[in-house]
Amino acid sequence: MNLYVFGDSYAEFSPNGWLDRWQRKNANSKVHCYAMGGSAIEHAENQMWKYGVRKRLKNSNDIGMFFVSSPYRMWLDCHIDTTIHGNDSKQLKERRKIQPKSQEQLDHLKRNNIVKYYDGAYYFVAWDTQRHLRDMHRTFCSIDYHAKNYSQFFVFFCFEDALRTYKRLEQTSWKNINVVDNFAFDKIAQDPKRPGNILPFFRDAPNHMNEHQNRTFAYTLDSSIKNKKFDYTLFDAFWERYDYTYNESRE
Amino acid sequence: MGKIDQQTVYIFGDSFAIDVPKSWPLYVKEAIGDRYSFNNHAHGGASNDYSEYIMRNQGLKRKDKNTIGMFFISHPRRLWLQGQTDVVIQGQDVEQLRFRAKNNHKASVEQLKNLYSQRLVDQYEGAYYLVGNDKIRWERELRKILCSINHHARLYKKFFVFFSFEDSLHLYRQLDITFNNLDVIDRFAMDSLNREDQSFFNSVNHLSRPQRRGFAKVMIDCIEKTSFDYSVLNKEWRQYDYLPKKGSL
Repeated sequence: MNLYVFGDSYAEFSPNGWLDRWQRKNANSKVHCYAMGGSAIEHAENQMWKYGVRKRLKNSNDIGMFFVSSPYRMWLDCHIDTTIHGNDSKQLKERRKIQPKSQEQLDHLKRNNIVKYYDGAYYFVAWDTQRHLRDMHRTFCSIDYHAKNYSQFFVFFCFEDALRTYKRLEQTSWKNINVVDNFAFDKIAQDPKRPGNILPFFRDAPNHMNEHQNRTFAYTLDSSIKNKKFDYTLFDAFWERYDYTYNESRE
Repeated sequence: MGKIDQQTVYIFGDSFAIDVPKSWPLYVKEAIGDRYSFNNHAHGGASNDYSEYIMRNQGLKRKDKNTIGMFFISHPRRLWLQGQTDVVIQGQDVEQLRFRAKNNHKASVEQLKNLYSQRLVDQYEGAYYLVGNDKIRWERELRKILCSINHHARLYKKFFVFFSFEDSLHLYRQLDITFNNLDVIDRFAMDSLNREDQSFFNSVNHLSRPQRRGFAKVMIDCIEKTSFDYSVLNKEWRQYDYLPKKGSL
């Protein structure tokens, strides 16, 4: 079995993280992890098409996973599309080779308080519901279409605000993806009541989860793949329950 | 005599598909309007993301076996600005901008002026364009737009995608993706996009009269037979080299 993982730091391969634990238990399976800390949704979607399965082979048992980051997290789409993400400056350096003005543009956005830097990733300061909804719809269409190449494909939400945005989409019935839409790993990346105030959601632990959470998620993933359905039952003990219903006053 | 179900044709996209006097959609309507009803949502200067947004809002909401859809893909540089407050500038007038300004996007005008003064955007014939070529971005955006069109197209009997500009077609061919719900017309673009050559904006739908008449005939066939015939076009259209050129998008 091949397991393809895309998304942000919640899915990044780290020692003693959930993916490491799952890999140890499933030594015969091969993990292809393209998740990266600080990845914006668009970046993860791009990685998916770049490194994911392009053609479904007969009897293949490829499993895909996509961890949706916060809509606040940024892959800058200004002028020349400065791409800033990741926990280091590698991406920026790569982009600067192609687009020398990237750093200059980013500085301009920072000076004008349009973006903010926090713990390795850039975020938009303001929330734009219409934009986030539009982007999320397109991204899900893209994931659903790409997912036809896999035997199973799970989509998770890393942040509550992404999940609440998803719940507001008009179209949420997909052909090829199993969207885990009753659970988010963590709270929002920013506080909507105080734009620009990024909440300290990062725990200093593998995949931002404690040991119990990492263990539980690895176990749940295993049983979910076998049963072709995500099993929420073990989660209540280890994750805070969020209110996922849309509340306009919170936007 | 049994009742004949009237079929519907939805059209989305940019100015190559707008409904104005003497345009090809009107010729089509005149010819087969008794059997088909037309919902034309194409808009001059529309960017791809704007047309996709309109398609989802104005297009079919549930499956209709009698409906045909068409989407005219615009130029990738055409702009629906995605800055902080998501400045939306397109259309041949300022209607869109006014709409956004009313809807809590008052910073839009200011941002556009700012970008224009920094030469980050360019204005031409009522639409704004991003300056510079960013192939990575254009490919990503086009792929997502086409995935969304493909998802929406499952509701239609048949859905055609046309390319208004040669450079969008180049990009599509480099994506190397085929879509199960779409019939992508990928051997033909309505026009090249040579910014020095402004001649393509000079007439109705940017087409000469023989082109408009010829295209209307092809489209009538396309609607009635639900297949597109390239052969008729050869007489009226320049044949482009669709292989990627060095330095092009």
